[in-house]
Amino acid sequence: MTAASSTIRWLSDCGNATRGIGAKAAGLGEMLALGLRVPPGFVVTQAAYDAFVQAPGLAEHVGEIATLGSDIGTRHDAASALRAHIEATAMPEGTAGEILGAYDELARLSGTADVEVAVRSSASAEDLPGASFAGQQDTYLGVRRDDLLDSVRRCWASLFSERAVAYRAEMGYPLAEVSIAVVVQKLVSARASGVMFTINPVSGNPFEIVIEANWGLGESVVSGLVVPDRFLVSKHSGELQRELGEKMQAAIAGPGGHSLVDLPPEQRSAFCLDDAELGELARLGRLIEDHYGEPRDVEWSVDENLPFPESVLLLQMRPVTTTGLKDVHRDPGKSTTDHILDLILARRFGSPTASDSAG
Amino acid sequence: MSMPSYGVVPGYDWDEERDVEVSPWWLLDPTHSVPPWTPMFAWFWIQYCGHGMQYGAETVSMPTVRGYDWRLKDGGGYFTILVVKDPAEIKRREEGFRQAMRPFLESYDEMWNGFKTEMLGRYAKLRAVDVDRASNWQLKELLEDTVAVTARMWEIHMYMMFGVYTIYLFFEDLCRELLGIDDTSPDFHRLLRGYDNKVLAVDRALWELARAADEAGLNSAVGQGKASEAIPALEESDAGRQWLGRFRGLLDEDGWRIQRMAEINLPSWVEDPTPALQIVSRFIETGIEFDLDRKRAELEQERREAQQAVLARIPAGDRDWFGALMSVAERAGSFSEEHNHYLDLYTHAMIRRTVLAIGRRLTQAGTIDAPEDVMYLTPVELRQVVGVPEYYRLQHQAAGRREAYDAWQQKENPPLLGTLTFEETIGEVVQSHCPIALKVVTGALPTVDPAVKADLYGVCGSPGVAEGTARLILDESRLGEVQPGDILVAATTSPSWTSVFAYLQGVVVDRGASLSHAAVVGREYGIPVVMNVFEGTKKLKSGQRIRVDGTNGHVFVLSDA
Repeated sequence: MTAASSTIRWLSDCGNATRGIGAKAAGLGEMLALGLRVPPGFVVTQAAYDAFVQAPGLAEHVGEIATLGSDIGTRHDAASALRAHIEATAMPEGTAGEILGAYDELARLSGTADVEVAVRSSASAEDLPGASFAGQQDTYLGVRRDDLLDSVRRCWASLFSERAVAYRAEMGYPLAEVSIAVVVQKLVSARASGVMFTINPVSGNPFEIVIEANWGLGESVVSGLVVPDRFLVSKHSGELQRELGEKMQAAIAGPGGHSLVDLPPEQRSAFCLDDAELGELARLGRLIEDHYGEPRDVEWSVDENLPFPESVLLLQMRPVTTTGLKDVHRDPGKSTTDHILDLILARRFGSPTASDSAG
Repeated sequence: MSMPSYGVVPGYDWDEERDVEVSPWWLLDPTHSVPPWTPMFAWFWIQYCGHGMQYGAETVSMPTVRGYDWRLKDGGGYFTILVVKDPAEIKRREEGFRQAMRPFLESYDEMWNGFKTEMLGRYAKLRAVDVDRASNWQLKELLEDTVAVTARMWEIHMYMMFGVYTIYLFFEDLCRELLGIDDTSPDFHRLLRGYDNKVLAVDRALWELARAADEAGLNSAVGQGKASEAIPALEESDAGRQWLGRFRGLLDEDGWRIQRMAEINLPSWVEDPTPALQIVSRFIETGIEFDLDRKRAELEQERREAQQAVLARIPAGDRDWFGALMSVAERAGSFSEEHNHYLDLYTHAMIRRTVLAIGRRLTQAGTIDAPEDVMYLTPVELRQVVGVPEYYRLQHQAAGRREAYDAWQQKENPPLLGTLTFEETIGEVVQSHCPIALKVVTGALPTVDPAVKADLYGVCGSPGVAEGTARLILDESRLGEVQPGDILVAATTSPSWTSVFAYLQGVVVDRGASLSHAAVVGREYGIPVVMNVFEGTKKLKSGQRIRVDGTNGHVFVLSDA
């Protein structure tokens, strides 16, 4: 049991524990703690990686990286060699057993012996550039039991991608003394997917939630491949506006990622979400914004194998970049009153030089 | 023989030849001067509202406006804006503006409370004169003081209004740019509501009196209809006398309001408390739950959430000034409503009290036939005769003007005088950048969406949707016809209409914008209001079942009466 708790942690136990599980897993744990549903899964902790790289043979290779100078060519080669070593080195038996054991438990929970999972790296922000919760990271979709350990090792290896090593070198972070966790989640069997903005990203209206959706996986919406169904929900009244998209194709899970299929006419001309699902998504959207105190952009799916509302799952999210307020920033040296008056003079009365004469 | 309308406000009576040279456009003020004014009231409005607007524009140093000029034609008030066009002068005025606007941003509450105290002090001095015992000369002095108080009232009124509305419009600009919402958006309105104001406080006090009457078993006495019958009935018991004491206390404090906002030909509540008693008995009859505190708490909570949502969109470094701006802009709604109580309505009640006292004196002296005939005279005429009234006869003057006044009531004044088209005139108004004209006079124009198939299109005054029976009210004396659950349909509303809002489902008005009375009060009562439908009073009929969608500004007729 002791060994299990250091190698594996279930997402549902990640609520307040941010150490040793990386940013992505911490984010998922926080969501679960808030009552925001994410696909079930577990984390292969940093401790598992730490134990792995101490294996004889591998430890030296990792140490070498730290001694490299600033020559980019050398560093490139060493990183590439190290990644190959990591991918080729067998895991300690205990670790492998625990990961597979957790997978079997997940399969049991999902009611499918050979459940498909998504495997993603979950690094700390300073260890991997752009490894923030929703940023760039290695993701392997449609992984089953046989490929699971390989996928985890590939995620570990990503710690030494060219970009990651260059970034750490530039920032003056240690090159070798880093760690990484890996998240394994049940792959959603998506009937429909898409994105949700907790504000209207076009007008900036903070009182509206915008949901874009298509049948299948979210890739077709995120990549802009189809004109999705578009829904606008008023946060106050819950009032709903619908716009039917031109959904010619959908993304479905396939080997090594996803593939596109043509949609039959009856699916093109039907909304892919019902009112209850939209209401549930909007409820989750408000919960997210209330908690994070800023507008967010959320990826979600509706799982066809789960009953409503458990079927409405959140996958990832990121803050929406604030736009607007052009040319209205206050110069710290100016009082708020002077700033407002300058803006009023310039904008309401159209005086182009109002700010020149500011006292 | 009909008296020509000039001779009411010499120098300000409409003279086409002269006035078109002053300005090529003159707009009718339909909110205040339909139906047409009595000559006495017109004299005060045309001169002193104009005075206040010029004073206010100058004191705030409005860069592009030096105030308004007013003319009177057939009892209708027409205004034009005195626009500054010379860039060098605009520049000079901007410097003054920068200083003059500071108190609005830095000490708004202190300033407005100071003005309220000042005006209440001035009213107290006028009220201290015992008009029935005063000598003729004291009455003459009271007339001069009343004119001076009116002038001062309009100075404060317009100084405040130029400042507050300038900030409000700028805030609206920023919201439009930043959040994609403006004052036709229900979300914008959530920012403005949840503030107490004097007019609502009076309604709540009347509701509490209704509850007290109900508990003391005074319902039948209060429900006599007329004050002249109800008061003697109440005097008969201890409980009744006690209740009357409370009621009179309220009137003495808050009853100095005329039943019409911009006129003095109807009594104030102090003079005839019948309208106040009717509101009380209506509250008893309907048993309406007037839980303003709970509603207020809800609206306040909603406002805070809306504020947070707005601030979350502002970069952290800009939240301080944006928040300061927002808090002053939000006060525009309660200022809009409250100033009516402390300024216009109270002053007009004072004018009525003074001129009627003189009217009684003139009637005793045989100068005129009845006290109310002073409504057809002007203060200039009263000033001439009140010292030694026995030596003057004004019957002919009063009768002639009364005939003119009656003729004014029979016809509709044109909306525009001068040489410009309506579109050109609106263009001029927009170019003036005058916040009062933009907010109060023009308002936002409705967007027609044929797909919606609404019967009328307007703009959001207060969000929400409701269904009910349409009740067309063209004149506040018929407010008693409104039944609980009705949807009020009116040309426009004013503070004397506020009390029926407590039991309405919704409101539709022909003209108005987000700071107009119906919008401000509708928001506080949390009922949908559609503004600026233009033809509501023409197209809707009492008894029809209608649906109002305040959120989107749509009105649907569901079934005929």
